[in-house]
Amino acid sequence: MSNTDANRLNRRQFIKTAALLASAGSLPGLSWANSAISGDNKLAVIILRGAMDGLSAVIPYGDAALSGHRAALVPADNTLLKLDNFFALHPAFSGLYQLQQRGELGIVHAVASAYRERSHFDGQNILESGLETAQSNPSGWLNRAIQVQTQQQAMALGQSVPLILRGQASVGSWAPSVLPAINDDTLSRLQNLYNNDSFLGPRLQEALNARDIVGASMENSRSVQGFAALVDAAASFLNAAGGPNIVVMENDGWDTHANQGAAQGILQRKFTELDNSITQLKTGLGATWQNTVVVVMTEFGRTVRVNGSLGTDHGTASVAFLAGGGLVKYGSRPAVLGPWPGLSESMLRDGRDLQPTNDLRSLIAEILQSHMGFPGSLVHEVVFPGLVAGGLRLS
Amino acid sequence: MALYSPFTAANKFGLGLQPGEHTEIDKDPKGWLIAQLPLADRLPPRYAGMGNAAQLIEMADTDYRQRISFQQDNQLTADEQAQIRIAQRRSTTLQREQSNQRLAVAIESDTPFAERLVRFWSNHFSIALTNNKPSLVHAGLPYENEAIRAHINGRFEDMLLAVAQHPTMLIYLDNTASFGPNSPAGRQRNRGLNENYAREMLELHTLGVDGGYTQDDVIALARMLTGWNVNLPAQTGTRPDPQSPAGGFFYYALLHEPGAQQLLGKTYADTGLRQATAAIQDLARHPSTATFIANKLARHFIADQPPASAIAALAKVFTDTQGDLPRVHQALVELDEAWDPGMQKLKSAEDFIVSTVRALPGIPLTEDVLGILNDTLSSFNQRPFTAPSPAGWPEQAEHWGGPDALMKRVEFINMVAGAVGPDFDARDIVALILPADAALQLAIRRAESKTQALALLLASPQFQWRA
Repeated sequence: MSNTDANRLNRRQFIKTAALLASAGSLPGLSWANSAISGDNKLAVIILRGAMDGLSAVIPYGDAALSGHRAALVPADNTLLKLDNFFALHPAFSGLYQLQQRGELGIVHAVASAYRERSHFDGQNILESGLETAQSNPSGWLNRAIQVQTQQQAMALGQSVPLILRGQASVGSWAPSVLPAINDDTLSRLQNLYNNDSFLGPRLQEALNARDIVGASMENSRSVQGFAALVDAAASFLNAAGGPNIVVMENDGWDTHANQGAAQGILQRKFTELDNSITQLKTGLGATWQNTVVVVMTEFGRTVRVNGSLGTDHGTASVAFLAGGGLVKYGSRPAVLGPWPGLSESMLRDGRDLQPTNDLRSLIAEILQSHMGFPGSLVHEVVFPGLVAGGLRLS
Repeated sequence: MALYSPFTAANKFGLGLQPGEHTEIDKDPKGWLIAQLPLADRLPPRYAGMGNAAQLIEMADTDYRQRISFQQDNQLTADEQAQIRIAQRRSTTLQREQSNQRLAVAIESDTPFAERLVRFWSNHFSIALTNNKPSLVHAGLPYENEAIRAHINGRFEDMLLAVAQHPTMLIYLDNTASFGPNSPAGRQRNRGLNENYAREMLELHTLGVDGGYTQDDVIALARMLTGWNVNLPAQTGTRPDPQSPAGGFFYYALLHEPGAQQLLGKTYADTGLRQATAAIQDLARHPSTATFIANKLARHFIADQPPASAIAALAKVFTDTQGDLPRVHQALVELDEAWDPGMQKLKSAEDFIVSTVRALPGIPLTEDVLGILNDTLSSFNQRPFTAPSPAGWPEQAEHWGGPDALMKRVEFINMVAGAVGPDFDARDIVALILPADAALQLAIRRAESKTQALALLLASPQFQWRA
């Protein structure tokens, strides 16, 4: 087959395809533009898909059991961004550290959704539906939150509208007009499948080699730009008069089963990307940052112990970050919120996971009520049906 | 005794399993295929009212002549420009409509084995819409329906004859430009033979290149075919037969080479139109044809290098039944070799796109979605009726599975999964469309998101093969 430029995939066509396929699915319409003026306070939700290792993000360096479980995954003590005499941010989070100094960062450790198994699918289903169990076609909690709050407008930034925003309320969506980059993790998983195919395997390998030679730098910068472009767009949309006051962004590639690294490595690069994104969002928002809260959440945590391939496997509790000028009004507080369950053997869930001490829904419910002004009845009956009020434990 | 897997039935013989089809096929995979055969000549409802080949050839031919006549006087008037634009827009719309419907027919087909047989034969008797045949620009789809689909439940010789009398093939392989040198028209205008169609009929449609014919046989067949023409005006003026429909088949006696001809050792008296008809019947019944067709069927449906036993068995049924196509098609399904999971075929680009959408039920086939899937098909170099040569689309995995082509498939799936990933659960779908494969199922279960899981499923090597 000839490989002339004219025969290359037409990226513009692909984008069009993606948009059409997405709009052809069970997605709500795009008609928010004519709706009422949005509220003053802003909410940005970042979903980390794949399960972020919370113990690497916010390191309990003061827990005596830590190094016994995962010495290979802990950066050198003198590189840690210490928050107090027990917790430290991973060195990649220099931007978050600055926010923390200004009272613009909240960290809740040992937090988990209602989910207690270890499937990404079901975990993300519950994370986004806000329900107790995984269901086949649930609505998203954020969509339910805005169904009766017509002054609230939400927008998904990305190729498709994620479950969290699906439901009866109409939401917007926007994606940059470049072909979505293939994430390296997906490619490496595909490569594993192709390794068993004696005909196709070597051919895919050749294609990947060519891609490395021709486009490595381009691809890399494009994938970073990929999420950065969404963040830029999020800031623009939140700043726009009459635009959405709620945005959702998705970031994948957190499933670090192998070689996740300590001070450097796969996970450090993800942390850096996340850290840059939040700094970039603050810059982009300008004055709007003062009434914004960013919620960063993931479907579950990872095992406390390092596994046989210098990574971690699916666990239970992780970390949630809150960021934004909107946090200053909550006053001074400990750097890390939530009771610490401890890492000693007897405290681990199923002998392997960080034990959750907070329900992620309780944290979100607090933000929805005190920051976004949603009535408590709505939050506890519709958004998170069955969630007991006042469940958030700050210490 | 073969194990009749529903996956083989739907993926290897058909156009790809749809998740909902499984229980029906499970009951009797082989019977499910055979039951489709009597339905193979149904015209899919989507094609109703789309125009026949004669009309569409006449229309394109008229438009082309008009454009040429306008351009002859150098200066196009505004009115002429407008007329050309209108004709071009009409043509673009019609081409898009045809491509879209053809893709939708495959995606929606509830007789996918029958539909693949139609496309196999359409590719066996391949035509291409090339720039130097402007009258054919809309003729591919009606050709497939009129010459191929309508005769798929007859004998091979019926289809061969229908093709030979179809205006699309006669124009595509230049038989309309072939004059008997000693015919009245040939003498008067000093024109001669064009061997193109005669050669391809022997080499590609019947005997095969090693089927035992010589250059003299090509010339003899070309002479017999002179006068097999299309009822369209020459340069200017009226068409040869104002009584019969424009654009249709027309036997033009004034072009026919007089005299008896000798083909493969047999003498054919000059009976006009019927001279070539008799030759075509004999070609269809020639032992080389049986072997050649058996080989092509086996290479298309079983493996790039099919076992000799399978080819021999198909050739025997072809010969025994005098080329009765439904019985040959059934014989294919009855072959143990065809159900051997070790025998596999790499999907063509079209099969890959069709099976992808079949695996994702619920994506509505709007004009926009179909148009863009067709654009994708073009970027994979497989726009319908644009095969690179009269031999049709290649069969070999090497053709469809080169590194760049694979990367394009991965990119396409990455985009599709990015768009619809949250709507589908690959953990459920995988078991419904592919045989159990521990590595694939594990990879999907371990995927970090629904989107990634769907991408892994549809970009997997397992999904690229028919097995």
